[in-house]
Amino acid sequence: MPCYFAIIGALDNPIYEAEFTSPQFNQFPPELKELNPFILHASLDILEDLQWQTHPQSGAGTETSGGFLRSRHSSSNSNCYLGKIDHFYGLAITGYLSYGNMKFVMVHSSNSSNGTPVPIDDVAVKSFYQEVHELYVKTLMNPFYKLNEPITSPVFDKRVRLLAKKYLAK
Amino acid sequence: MSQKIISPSTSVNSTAHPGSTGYDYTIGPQQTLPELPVSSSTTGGGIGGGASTAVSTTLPLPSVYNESLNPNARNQHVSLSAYAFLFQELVSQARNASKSVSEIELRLHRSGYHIGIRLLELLNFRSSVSAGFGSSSSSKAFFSKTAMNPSGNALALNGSLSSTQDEPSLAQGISHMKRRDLKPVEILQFIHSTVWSYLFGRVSDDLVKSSERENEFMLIDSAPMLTQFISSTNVQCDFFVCGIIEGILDSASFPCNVTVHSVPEPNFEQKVVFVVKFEPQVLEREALRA
Amino acid sequence: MSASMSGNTASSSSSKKSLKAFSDDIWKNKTAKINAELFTLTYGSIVSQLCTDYERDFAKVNKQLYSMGYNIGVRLIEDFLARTALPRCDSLAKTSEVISKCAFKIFLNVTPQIGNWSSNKDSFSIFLDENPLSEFVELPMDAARELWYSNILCGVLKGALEMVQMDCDVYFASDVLKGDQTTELRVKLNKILKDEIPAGED
Repeated sequence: MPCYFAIIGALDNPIYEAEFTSPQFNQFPPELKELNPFILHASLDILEDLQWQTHPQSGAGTETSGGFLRSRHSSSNSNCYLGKIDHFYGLAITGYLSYGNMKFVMVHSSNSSNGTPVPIDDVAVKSFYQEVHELYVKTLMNPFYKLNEPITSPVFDKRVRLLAKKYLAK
Repeated sequence: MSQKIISPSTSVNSTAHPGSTGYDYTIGPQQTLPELPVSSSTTGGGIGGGASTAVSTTLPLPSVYNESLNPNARNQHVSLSAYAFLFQELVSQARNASKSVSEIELRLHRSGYHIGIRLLELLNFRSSVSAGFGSSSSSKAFFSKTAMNPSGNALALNGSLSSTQDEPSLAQGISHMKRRDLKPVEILQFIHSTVWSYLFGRVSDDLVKSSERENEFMLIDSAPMLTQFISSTNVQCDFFVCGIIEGILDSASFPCNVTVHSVPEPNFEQKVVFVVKFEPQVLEREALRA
Repeated sequence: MSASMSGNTASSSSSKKSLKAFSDDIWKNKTAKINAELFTLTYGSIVSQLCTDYERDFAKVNKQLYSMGYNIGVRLIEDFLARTALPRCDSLAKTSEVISKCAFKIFLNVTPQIGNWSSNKDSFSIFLDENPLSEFVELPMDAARELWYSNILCGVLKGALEMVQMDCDVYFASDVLKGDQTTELRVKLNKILKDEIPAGED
């Protein structure tokens, strides 16, 4: 499944963006590709709402709309990984918050074009986010990196893409 | 050249990493997973000439991403006197660059803030890792396991990367991330215990809520470690610690103002109180959640 | 302990061991310690602030780090002599050994290697395999050529050695942060200063 991933800073600015596509993965449909950043930004409001809820994690596979009223059956007590927070036609949007409230957000697209919602493998997606979180912490540890600045390191980019390949290429 | 007017804070000479040029926010997301173009045609692309000549004959610049966040990966201590000397220079540097006492304190505060924003992420992330993960001898064994795990070509794709992945990520040792602190009291307890223990080897002496003002809390330290060597009377050097506290709270979305006040007591002449004053929006958010 | 210290360099194989044991003991039992990462982070905030203050004029940053180090060095030597009570070194070889095995050990808990002696034995190199100043540091591209991130160490050695009547040049020859194979500090003895003031304590 092709994915669009972004880390959004405290000022709602993207500090990192990537598209995970490849011949095996399929591409984003051209008409949707340009919309990805907008779809993602539209879900930030939901994410900001979940940010301060005690049990924000949505139950895996729940498919009701709205996203932020589903808080009962969270599999764990975690509030970094928020699971699926929104959807838009056939696309699913997942979210994750770092301790410094960097917003990690991803638009998941399905290969089929019939509009069925994308199933989210929460375990894999959560692992992906946690690994990227670790890379983000390393970024921040560098004294020359300033909070909310774009992460331009090619090594970071390469690592994130390898993680996407490991956890998301299914 | 013109697109490099804003110099990126964290970047590496592209000669060292053919095949990837990193995220460029002026371009937007780049596509695809790493398919390695074996040609090194991207060498030096677009980067100001000077730097590439100087480093072209050397190894790739080391990257922070190759270092481990594991606290056991390196020496855990230096001598307190080495730190005291450094801290004294930090203070005199601030003094030399400032025109007033408040400016000195502001600079110390800023240095602490720089550290606080890092500690919030680092310490919480570390406490999510299951105890004992990746400690000493097991980490080597772990390496050979992970090196074989990803479907063969993931590593074959990129020779240079495989050689650098000699530490398993800490994330692999996490079953549950520690919860983000949502309440002022929770995050203050994190500072009182986790942060204080990390920095000074003991929890702070007390954490109390102001009886007069709803948005005020006080952290008490009877024997502040960093400033015990500073004899200066007019500058309050604990503004450095204020900065650490405020950096943590601010980036955790608890905007506030932190000040420090001396309250000498017979047995604790250097005793200080850090006063945390939250911005009104923090209390408003609390009221909404309740 | 200090009796075995006074041997000349010819007997260094035996004194080497005892100097190490002597220093390990000071580090383990007689040194107050603090979190090494706090040290790293504090130094990082100093360097990044200087880069901003001097508008990324890295030559100026190097100079400022050096002078901060010098200020430290002239005070640190007293602390060092008080804690170790080592006698004066009778040769540069002995000095180099005390720097690596004792001074670096009891202040920073690392023991760098000494090598690269000049043929006339007036200069040597200190190879830092571990450098607690530069953990988690990745130099920005514009700094990679000019900035000597750990330059404060040069100043410390310069200041400390000057206080024991040794006029030295101390500078970085290479740094792994810049993509070099090693981090190499070069120390060159220019002359022994006249003994006008007594060294350190006594």
